[in-house]
Amino acid sequence: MLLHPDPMSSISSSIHAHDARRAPTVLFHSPVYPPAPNPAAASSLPSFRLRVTSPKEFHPISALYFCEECDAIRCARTVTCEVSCYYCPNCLFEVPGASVRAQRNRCARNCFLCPCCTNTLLVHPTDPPSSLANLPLPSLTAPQASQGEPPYYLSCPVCRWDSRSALGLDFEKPTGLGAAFTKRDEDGGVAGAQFEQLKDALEGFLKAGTPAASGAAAAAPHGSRVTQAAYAALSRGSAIGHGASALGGRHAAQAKEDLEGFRPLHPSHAPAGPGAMSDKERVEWVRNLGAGEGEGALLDFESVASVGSRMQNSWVGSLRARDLQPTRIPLRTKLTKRCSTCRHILIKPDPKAQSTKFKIKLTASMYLPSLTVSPSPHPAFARLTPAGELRAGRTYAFELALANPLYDPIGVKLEVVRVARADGEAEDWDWGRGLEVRMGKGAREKVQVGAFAEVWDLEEDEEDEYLLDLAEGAVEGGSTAAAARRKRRAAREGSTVGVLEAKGNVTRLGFEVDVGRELAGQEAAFPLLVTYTYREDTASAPPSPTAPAPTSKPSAAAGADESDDTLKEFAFLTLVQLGAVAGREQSGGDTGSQRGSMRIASGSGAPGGPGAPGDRSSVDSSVGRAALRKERGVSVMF
Amino acid sequence: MPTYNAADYIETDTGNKVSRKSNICGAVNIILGGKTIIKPSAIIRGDLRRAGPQQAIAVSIGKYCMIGEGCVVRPAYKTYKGTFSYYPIKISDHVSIGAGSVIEAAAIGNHVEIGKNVIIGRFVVIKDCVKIADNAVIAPNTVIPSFSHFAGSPAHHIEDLPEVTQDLVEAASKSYYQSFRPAAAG
Repeated sequence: MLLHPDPMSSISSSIHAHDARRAPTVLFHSPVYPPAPNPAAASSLPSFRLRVTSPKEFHPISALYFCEECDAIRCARTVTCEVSCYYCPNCLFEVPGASVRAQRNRCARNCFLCPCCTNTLLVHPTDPPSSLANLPLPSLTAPQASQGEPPYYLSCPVCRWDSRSALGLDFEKPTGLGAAFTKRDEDGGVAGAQFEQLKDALEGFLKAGTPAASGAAAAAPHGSRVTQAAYAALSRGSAIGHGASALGGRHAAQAKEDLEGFRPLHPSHAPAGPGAMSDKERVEWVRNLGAGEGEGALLDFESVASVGSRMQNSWVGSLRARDLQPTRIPLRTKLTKRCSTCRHILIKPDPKAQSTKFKIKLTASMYLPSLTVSPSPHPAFARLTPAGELRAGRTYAFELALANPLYDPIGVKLEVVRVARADGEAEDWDWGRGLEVRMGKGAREKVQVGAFAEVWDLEEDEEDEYLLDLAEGAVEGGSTAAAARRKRRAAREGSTVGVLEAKGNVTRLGFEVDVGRELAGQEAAFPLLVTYTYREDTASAPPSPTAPAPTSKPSAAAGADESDDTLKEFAFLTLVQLGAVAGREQSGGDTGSQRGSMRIASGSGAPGGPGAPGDRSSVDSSVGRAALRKERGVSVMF
Repeated sequence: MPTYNAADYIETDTGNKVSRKSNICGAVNIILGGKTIIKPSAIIRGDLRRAGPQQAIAVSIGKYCMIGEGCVVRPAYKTYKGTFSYYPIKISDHVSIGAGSVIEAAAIGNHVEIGKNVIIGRFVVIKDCVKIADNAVIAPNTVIPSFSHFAGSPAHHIEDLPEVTQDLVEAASKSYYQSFRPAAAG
């Protein structure tokens, strides 16, 4: 199932990388529902925040926000949007909110869309009347050929439609065309006439209801007379509908009479507007489309206006493509986004339409460590199919890069979990099934990821080694035999499993995945529970026992007051998508594959050199398989 | 890791890496902002400049840009009020242009990603943080507002980009430049 194709995922894969196949992605979970009354019963995941109710709750991190007050991840479903400013996408002119409604949400300047190809129209002056038309071609390069004079018309540079030859529409001035167009009444005068009739009919209504209107004035929040009358009508509306009146029988009866007698001038189902055709005319016209005899007749589809160009009209208009009018360009908006639970502003763009800055920007990438998965370049593991898919029954190695956006180091703990439907039933979405993931140290202990330093100290080698030692953890201790076994396994796994590199604020981990055979033809994905601890600066954070705010900016108090800092923890679910698994037919030839990765490596490692995989299989096979079995029990189920 | 043969590229003192196989015409009228990569077979027409005795800049490219292989960047021309002239093309920072694209725009803003085989018509104005999909054809005189994703032929707006686009594109272009290193000798 395809979850949220990410436009940002192609940043590193289409232009900057040489890899054409779809890269593995990591999606982050954004909880939608409030905490269940009894979380322990509802799901076996530790906290309400990790309750997954739908596969659509996973998003790429670029689409998520983070609310500091609620201490939760927010997505497009859990934020409310308000309009911050309106602007025209063509002239980039900012329209004040008050005039938006008057302009019917469209640009009132010279921005039009071509009715045929919906590209922007150019305002074109007419050629000056002279004998230029009679002159041979070279004179078209004369300076006079490029000068123009009124009247001005609209022309499309793409499909060569122009308003003068199609509709006979031209303007005297090159500016303010939108206003001139509206004055001609876009619907051919139909909207204006209908509104006048409606207003006249309701005027009598207003006069009849004046005593009640003044009484209802106190209830109406706005002061306009029309709205007060509407409120009065509403309060009487129940009387009209049910026939019984608590407010006044005479008023009710008369109002009912008035409403029933109203017949609109242009009902919505009747044809109206320029060139409108009645139903009979339409049928006749379509029947006669395209001249020609018998089977040789070619239907002239081009002359019929498409549904997309007609559906925005208020009335059923003409069916002919040549009657289509240019539309003014609809305005676009810049939105302010708020958390839907606590109304905290998450995104506040600059009020100027031209600017791309944000006054407030609280996105998830500023608070959460970002995870990126890429295939490992290690040669000893299975390769993808030519189509870029995984093969069922093989083992693959990947690298997971954790990047820390905070200014303090964090400790990250990763745990492979299995997520099924929240109410306990295992339905069609059951991630983690069929995959065995070995993460090495990252699964059991905390992995340290350094702080985000700006531009300076990118070459801190001592710091990197220190971090690497921390991350490797304490393997020493225990019996010598066990240590030797661990060392050998660590030597083999050192390049593919566990912490590979910790540089700056990025730590790379390697992990191996066994793809089970039951996944053939499906997507390989497993959920990963990420828990990270960060140092919270209690001096600058608002005092709140349950919702601490992670420090994302270095503050003066932090340096002075180290003893006050507490370690806070935050956990979130991610879904690591490794890609599609080839179908059963393609991986059917793999008869000799077993669960143990040793045999597979020796089988497919031939091009890489028979020495290395062969050695591993002879020395470590018994140890390896034992370790595998043990890890299988720990890592997959929980 | 994209690497290149060190002999194939000229590196300037401001960090620009220009391929020797690229076709740069009128280099005196071209400005490169620094840390910009120009791949082989790219054609930049700096010779199409506005007529006049004084120095005129035909093409101005910002920093951390990447002009892909086989791209054509040429200024647009128009006859306005009787005079024919070329209009300079201004490309801002962190712009990456995919292979085989033809760019005739008037202005391209910051943090723009242009795909492969894209044709951008004359006098197109592209604002900041825009993504143009592969094989798109942008009609002349179009204005592409910020945070848009355009695709198709003729190209239309298909979705809005998230607010973090600027950070992502900036990080991607910087890391691409840093990983674009000469292959180890030997």
